[in-house]
Parts: sequence; structure tokens; C-alpha cells
Amino acid sequence: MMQIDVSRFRAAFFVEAADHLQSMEAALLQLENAPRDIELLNTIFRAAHSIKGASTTFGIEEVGRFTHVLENLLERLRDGFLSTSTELVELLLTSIDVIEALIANARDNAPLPENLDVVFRELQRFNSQSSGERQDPMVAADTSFNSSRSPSTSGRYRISLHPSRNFFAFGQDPLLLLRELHELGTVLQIHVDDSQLPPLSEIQPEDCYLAWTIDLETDASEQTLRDVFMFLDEDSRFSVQAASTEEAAATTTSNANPLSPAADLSVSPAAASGFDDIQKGNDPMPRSSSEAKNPSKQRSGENETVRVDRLRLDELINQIGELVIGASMVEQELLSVAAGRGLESMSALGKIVRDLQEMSLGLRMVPIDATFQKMNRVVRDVAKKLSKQIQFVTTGDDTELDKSVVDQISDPLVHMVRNAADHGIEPPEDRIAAGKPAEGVVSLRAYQQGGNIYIELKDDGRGLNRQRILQKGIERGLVDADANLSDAEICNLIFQPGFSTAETVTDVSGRGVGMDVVRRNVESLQGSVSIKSIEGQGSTITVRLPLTLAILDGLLVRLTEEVFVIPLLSVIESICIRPSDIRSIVGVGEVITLRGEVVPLLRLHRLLNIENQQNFDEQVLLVIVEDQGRRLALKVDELLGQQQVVIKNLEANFRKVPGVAGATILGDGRVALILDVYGVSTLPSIDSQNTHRFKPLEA
Amino acid sequence: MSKTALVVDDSTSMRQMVAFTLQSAGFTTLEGANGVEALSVSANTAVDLVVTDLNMPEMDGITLVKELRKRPTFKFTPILLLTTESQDSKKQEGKAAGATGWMVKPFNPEQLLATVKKVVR
Repeated sequence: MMQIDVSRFRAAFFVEAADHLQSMEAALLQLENAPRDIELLNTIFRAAHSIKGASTTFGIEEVGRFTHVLENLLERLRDGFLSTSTELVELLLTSIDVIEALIANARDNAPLPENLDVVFRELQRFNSQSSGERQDPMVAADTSFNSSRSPSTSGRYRISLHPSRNFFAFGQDPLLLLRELHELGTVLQIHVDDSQLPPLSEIQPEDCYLAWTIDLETDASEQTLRDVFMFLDEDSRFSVQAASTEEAAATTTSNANPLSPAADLSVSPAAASGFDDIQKGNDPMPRSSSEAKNPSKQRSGENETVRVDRLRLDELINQIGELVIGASMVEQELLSVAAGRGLESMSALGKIVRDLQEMSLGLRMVPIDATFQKMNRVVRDVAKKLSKQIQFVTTGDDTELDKSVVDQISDPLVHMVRNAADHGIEPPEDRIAAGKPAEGVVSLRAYQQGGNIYIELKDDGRGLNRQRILQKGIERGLVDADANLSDAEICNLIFQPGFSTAETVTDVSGRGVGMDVVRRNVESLQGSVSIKSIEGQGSTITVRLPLTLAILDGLLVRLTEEVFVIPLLSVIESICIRPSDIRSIVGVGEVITLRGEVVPLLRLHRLLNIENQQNFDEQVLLVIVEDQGRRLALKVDELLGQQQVVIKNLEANFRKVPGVAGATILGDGRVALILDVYGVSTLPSIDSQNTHRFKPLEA
Repeated sequence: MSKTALVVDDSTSMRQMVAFTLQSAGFTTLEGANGVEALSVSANTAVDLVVTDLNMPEMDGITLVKELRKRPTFKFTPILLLTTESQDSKKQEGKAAGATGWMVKPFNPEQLLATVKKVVR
């Protein structure tokens, strides 16, 4: 028989298992408040059941074994043998984590979860608590397949089969059974009992009237023969009896030339199959009758989705991006040679192409609800562990953003939420003492504004302790002892590497690797993070993320002959100044004064090593950008305009270049680099040894 | 003419596995993620075999069997249930609803084809 490799279906299993675990978790969290909700219990059970079935089929034994015990427990819970308790929900939630880890183990060879044995035993303990009389079916051998093919010597059997009248109505066919017997050995004799066959006029063509007796010589065991009839309906009968040797020998001699079952039985099963074919061929009843019965049942509510390989989707979006560029190139060509109809049609086409691009970008958008839902669990776990009372609220769950952004924001978000629950929210007694309700509130809100998505994490906890942060910052050498920092600057210290003020490092939020990692992750998504906090009243952390990583609103600028794109988000304004307005400060370099604020000036020509025509203009054109609350003035030669550009990843095609976020292709087919404002602003410090770059202006 | 099989399971991986196995045995396959979908995709097609999971959202396997058997085109169609060991009572319930036989999970493609051979010519 052909060999089919089931491992090819594993990838699909991993994806669906993740979905199942997620719905299990969601239902479990709801179950805490509605312990007897049968729908929830069913959902949880079904998810576990599905995972078990598929994992065992695809040979992921660890998952199968674990889920099996879990499933038993869930079954008891569902059937009311067990009742929902906090302890039990806790155990079930932990079990989900274990399954997650087991799946990671199967998929990526991640280490097995440490608590595997403990949780497994705990599940078993719960199982045995409630009348553990039921035999573990996983232990019992699979009777249908693994049993009974024990080697046995050749034997003779008399087998009889009396199908029920409505045998065919179960999709059964006696011919198949007889064939199977035929394949198992040698049919010595077969007898058809047609005594029940009515006169032709009374025959019901859909009924089965015949019965058979077969003498079979076979190596197969009696169990194997019985297995042939495993699917018989209740009213059908069969028997398998070992025939005595002489009797069988006698029958052999009396019928030396046995007919093959197929030949002998051609009448009855053929008749049966004939009806079968008629039924399929020219259906006497119109099909619409059955269709009409349940059209309304179809497609209820749930969002229908198609899973598509992300690479294919990216490829599509990329190609559409190329199409946009191609179309705008044609448009420009046409503009220079012709006018009238051609141009009109082209601009209509251009619009369609841009709409198409917008739609294609929408394909990557997914709602953030799944990520938010994960946080539910995070808050709950922290609250349980630290005996705090925390209410978790989410809004804007259906806000959509780029799938890759959603994937990458999850970990930083977990960290932030955990921090808020752990460090932000006070223990109930402290809260009451401070005149607040005992229950703290942590809320997550997502919303779109312009080309950005904002995720806002708010807690009504103790807020940031400026004094302690400043002190810590000084201790860690992050700020000078005599530095005069603004309130916002102090708050932002928590985003510095290696900063942690929790006096006792809890095992919830861990140590050190905190908000600086969050900031780095967010920034790698071209986003930013900021915090506002009022002592005693709580903190609000706002994460700004781009709607998509595929396109960007940019300001096109010219530097000598080259065109660069500055992300519009970081652009504050552009101004013209006289060269004499530029000053040099030792240790800082060139600066300008903008409405009383000293802003460092960066000459992009120098940073990016572009030949600068030494023109001594009357005016110097500057683009003021902001990053991390820090303003910079970038000197450029010309502003070319604002344009939405398709981001081409430089790392994927070349390598990471400091100061450059990516590249794009302009309407005229030229390549332009997209500046990474934050990267650019750090370039001088990297190159600060090259003092010639920072010599004060000769001019 | 190749035979057509209707494969019904809410688990995508299981459904794909069963469908792929049947395809490799020469079947054309229709797929549904639950009973409702199964009824809908098979509304206008003659089917030679149905393989369905039991526990599914929207409409479970047993109900699906009952619904299918009501259709004249499905009167004699072999229907296999995908069960697990813990669902022994379900086999009987399925049988009573009109199912032809069952497959016990976990199974491998060879076992599936062996069982299919029991019920499809």
C-alpha cells in the first residue's frame, strides 16, 4: 500500500492547535464567572478533543497523551461529575500552557515544559477524585486495528451472514463483505439463502432479502473474520464458527470446484448496486427539496476566512507596489508626450491601481483582539499570584493593524501589562488606605488616528515615583547627579537599558530586562512609546505603531543629486535660515536656535557621505524632525514634495545600513533611500572620532 | 470516473489528511468544516463516500448523518464516522442514525484506506 507521510499536515495542525488553545483559554477565563455555562464547557472540551485527535494522528505523542488526560477531566466537568473551582480553572489554564510548550517542543524542538509531570499528575489526581471507575481507554488496545492479527495456523470456518432488510440504507453492501472474506482465504463453498425473496411483483428493490453461508479456509484468526462484520447494524446477524476438520474436508470433496463468491453472487449485489447507480444517475426526487430545508442554516455569523501563506501575500503586495510604480511611470511619460484622452484614461487607471494597492494592504490587516485577549490571562495570573484585585478592561479590540505588527507587539505588550499589574496596581490594603477602591483597573485601548495605531495601557495604580526613578538613574549612571531633568525626562528614564526600580524583584515581572526592551521592540516596528504618570493616580503608556509596514508617508528631499525620503511622521516643520544663524558648540557640534530651543544641526551630506556642492547660499533649508522627544535639524538642498512610498526592505536585499530604514522606488523609476531618523541622529556619536566631520563650518 | 468523497471535520489538519489520503487513492474530495458546510457543499453533487468527524460546531456528525440519509441521493452512500475510543456510545448512536462504519482516531492513512475499502467498491 502506498505510504503517505502525515508530517506534511503538521504545519496545519500547529496553526489550528494555537487557535484551539486560544479559544480554550478565552472560554476558561469566562468560566470563572459562569461556572456552569454548558456552552463554554462544550467549547473547551471540543478544543481539547480536536487537539487530541489530530496530535495523535500526526504522531505528536506527548501532546496526545497529555491532552487525553485533560480531555477526560473536561468530560467529567462537562457532564457534571466535577464542579468548576478556582483551583481547577487554574490547573486547566496551566495545562494550556503545558500543551503550548509541548507543541513548541514538537515544532521547534523547544525544551519540554518543566512542570509537565507535575501538571500531568495533578490532572490525574482530579480525574481519580471523581469516581475513577472508568477504564482509561487510551490504555486499552485499539480493538479495531491493533488487535487480533496474531499468527495462527490455517483453519476452516463456517461463516453465516444475515443482513437486515434495510442493510443498504446503512451504506452497506454484502458484496463488499463477501469480497473481503474472499481476500482473507479460500472460499471452499458458498450458499445463498434466497428463501426470503418475495415474488417479483412484491419485491422492494431497496431491501435486502438474501443471506449467505460461507465455508472459508484461512490463515486469519477468528477475530479478523469477525472484524469483517464490525460495521453490521443491529438487525443484521452473523456468525463465525471454526469447522471441524473432517466436516470441512467432506465439504471440500463434495464440492471440488468451488465457485468464486463474485461469480456466484453476481445476481443479488449487482441488483443492489444497480439501484445504487440509478439513485445516483437519475435522481427521481428533485434535490431542491432537501436544499430548501436548510438554506437559512448556512453561514451563520462567524467570519469566514482563508488562510494564506504570508510569503505569497507579501509577494502579491510587493507586485502591486511595483504596479503602482509602473503606472505612475507611464503616467509621467504620457504627460510629457501627449494630452487628452490618453492621459485621462491613464489617470483613471492610476486610480484603480492605487485602490488596488490600498485593498492589498488591507489583506494583511488583522484585528488586535486576539493579542488583547492574551493580556486577560496575564493580568489574572499576576492578580492571583500577588493577591491583588484587578479589573481588566479592553476597548477597541476590533482595531486592525498589520499582521506582522500584531505578532511583534505581543511580547512587549505582555511585558507592559505585567508591569502595570505588578508594579502599578497596589495591594488592596494600600489602595484602601489611599482612599481608592480595593479593586484596581488596568485598561488597554486601541485606536487609529491618521496613519497610526495607538495602543494605550492605563492603570489607576501608584504611578511613577519620580524621586526613586531619579535616584536610581543617578545610581546607575544614567544621569548626572546635578542634572536638571524635566518631569517627562525623568519618566522616560524607565525606558533606559538596565533600569528597574522595583524594590523587591518579584518573580512576576522579573528584573532588569524591562521597558528598554519594550522600547527597542516598538522602535523596530517604526513606532514609539511614551509614558505619562501622575503619582498616586496611575500611569498611561502610549505605544504608537504604523498602520502597516508596507507603505509610508514620506517627505521627499533632495541632497545634491540624490533623493531621500524622510518619514513624514517625524517631520515637525521645515524652515529657512541664514548661514549666520548656525552656531558651533564644543562637544555638540553645530546647532541652531529655534524659538528659544537649541536644536542640533545635522548635515546629511556629511553623514551620508554625499558630495556637497559648496554653494554659499543666502539661505539654508532645514527640515526639523523629532524622535524620542528630541529635535534635530536636517540640512537638505530641496523639498520635492510629499508622497506615499512602498517600503522595500534593505536588509532582505542588501544589509542593514545605519541611518537608513529602507528603500523605495520613485514614480520615475529611481531608487530613493528612506532615512531612519533615529538612526541618523545616532550617526554622529558613532563617527564622533572623525572630528573632521564635525569641524565648525569653514564658511 | 473517479469517485467523490465528502470529508467533514472542523480540524483543518485532520480534514486535509483525510482528503489527501482519499485523493491519493483516486477520490475527488469535497470538504466541509462542519455539518452545515457539508450539507451545503454536497447539495448538488453525487457522493460515493462520506467521512465525518463527530464533534463539530454548528452541526455535529450524528445530525449530519441523519440529514444526509434524508436525501434520496445519500440513501445508500457509505458514511464513516471519525471517533475516538472514548466515544464508544457514539458509535451506536451513529449507527442508529444511519452511519455505515467508523474510524477510531488516531489512525494512519493506510488504516483509513483499509476501512474505506470495507465500505466502498
